[in-house]
Amino acid sequence: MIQLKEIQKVYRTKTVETIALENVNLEIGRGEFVSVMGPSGCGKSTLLNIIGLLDKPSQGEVSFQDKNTRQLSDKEAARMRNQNIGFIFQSFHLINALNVFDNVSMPLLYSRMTASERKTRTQEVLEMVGLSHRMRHFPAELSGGQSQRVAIARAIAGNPGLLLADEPTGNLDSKNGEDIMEMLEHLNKNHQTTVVMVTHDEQLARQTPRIIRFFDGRQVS
Amino acid sequence: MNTTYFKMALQMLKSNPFFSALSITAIAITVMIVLIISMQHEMVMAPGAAEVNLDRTVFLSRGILKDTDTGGQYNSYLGNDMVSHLKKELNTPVAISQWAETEWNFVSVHGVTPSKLIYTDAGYWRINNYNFVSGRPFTQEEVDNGSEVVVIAQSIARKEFANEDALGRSIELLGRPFRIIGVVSDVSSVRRYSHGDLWIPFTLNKQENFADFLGSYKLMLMGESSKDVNAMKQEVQTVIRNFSLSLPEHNELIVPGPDTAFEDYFRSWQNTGEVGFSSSWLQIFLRMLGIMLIPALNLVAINLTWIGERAREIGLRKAFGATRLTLIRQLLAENTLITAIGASVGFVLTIVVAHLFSGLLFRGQWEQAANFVEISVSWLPFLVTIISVFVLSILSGLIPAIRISQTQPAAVLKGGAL
Repeated sequence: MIQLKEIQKVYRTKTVETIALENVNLEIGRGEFVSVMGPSGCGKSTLLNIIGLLDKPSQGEVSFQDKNTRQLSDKEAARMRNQNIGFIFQSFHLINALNVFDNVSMPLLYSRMTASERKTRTQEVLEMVGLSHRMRHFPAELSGGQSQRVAIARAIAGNPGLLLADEPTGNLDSKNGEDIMEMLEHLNKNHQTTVVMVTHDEQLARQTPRIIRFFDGRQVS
Repeated sequence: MNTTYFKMALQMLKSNPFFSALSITAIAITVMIVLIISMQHEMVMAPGAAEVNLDRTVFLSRGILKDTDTGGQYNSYLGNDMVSHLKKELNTPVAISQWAETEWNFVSVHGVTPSKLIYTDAGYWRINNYNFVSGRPFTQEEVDNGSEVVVIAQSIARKEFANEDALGRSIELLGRPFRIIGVVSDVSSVRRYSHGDLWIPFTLNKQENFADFLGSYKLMLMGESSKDVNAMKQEVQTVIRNFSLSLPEHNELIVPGPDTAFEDYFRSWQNTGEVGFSSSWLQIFLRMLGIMLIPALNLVAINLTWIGERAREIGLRKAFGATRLTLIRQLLAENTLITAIGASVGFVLTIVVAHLFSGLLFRGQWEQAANFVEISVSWLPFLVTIISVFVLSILSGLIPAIRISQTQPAAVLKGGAL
């Protein structure tokens, strides 16, 4: 599903050049659940951004569903993200101005769904994460666990084949963390969703079938 | 999708009451200022009230007499001799009127009333279409005979005679009794060619003249239609040129115009009597631009701040599939909605402010008895204002929208709450 060939990412300022990723070669198949581990600043999030087409590598090739992403226009990349990729962030990144329903249906606004289709799908995914009763609530009225479940609902609303989760349990207590992990496992097993999860938590990573480790921008295992 | 944009826009406005209120206020105040200025200009330059023939009338008001020997110069209204000469020589106008206005303390048993006294002729009543509450204007015969007849404004009639009929009664002017032959409705003091309190035949005017051809008169020339305006202008200049030939060699006479109401209004801004009218349009344009520019810059600043605060939201929307174009359209929809609300508030505010401060905003330099205040605006300046404000507002939103749509989502999603 995803192929990374000799990826290098360098951040340059006037005085400093920082190598975030160096010579990364990686292949992730459809339906895999992969954990990406490593210390802070080792390039995990950069890798996730490159896979998610939120950032471009300085060198190397990224293929997504056998398509080279380098040539994608802004519009094509946006469509690919909208139809194929869902994002889950450590700090949820819900839009405070919008209620739960509108937050979850936000990605669907950029798809070709009609208003009634959007409504049905949003209700469906909110039921999946057990929050259909909180539809009209605003993010400020939710607990951390609930917020992350809303974020998961938003990520899967467009029924993407790939979920990119950047420390999804990082801001949660262990009970809520376990719930979120169960949800991701459920999506992986029952919906064949490919999940790439960045985590610091060794125990969490061990629950996934594959672990990729990074150190100083290099893949070490 | 457009409905969705506006629904989203409404949500964003509701969620940011401070910025929404700030933007709406800025737009509303701009609309109000521009509309009020446009109303002020409109009432001076556009046909209306008694001045229904403004579009086919031209005006002569000033003459400059230069003495090339001494370098001295007189700058004054026109004298009776020149006016008579023009009246006799001009063929294109269907009506000509001379009039001189003066401040007059009208004294009666009811006290002293500061008034605007106008010396004029029969043509005046043809060019200006007053609403005669009772009676009639004076005739050319009465003018020629120097009859002591007067037309008075309704406010004077009410003050002097309360509810009784003023017609046929006498009032004292110039130290002798004048018979009231007509009562007209009050005209707003911003109306430059028709506002007044008392009108008497110009043949009773004993004001001192600077010279034979300079004095205290202004002249109105009305054509058959607005198509006659240019012909009247050319004819007047030809007559004045010929008139100048009769002057002594060391005298040079300059009579600018005749002007349309628009040109006359701008000439009145400059006391020199000489003004290029291309520069008048430029002045209007620069004034309006100046008025619009400051709120436009404010709006850009407000938009930049607001959108800047929403960088993470924009990044998030991009991550979930919004294209640059979609984001620009969404931000412009918000801007359009805010502008529509601001313009509506501005319109209501204009009506309220115009009525509350009418005396301050819509009164001319004369503070006489007929203090009637006219508030009116035609659809064209209103439409132009609203369109300009919309264009301006949308442009002011476009710059920040384009800027923010270039945001790299990865850069803004690194952490922190939205």
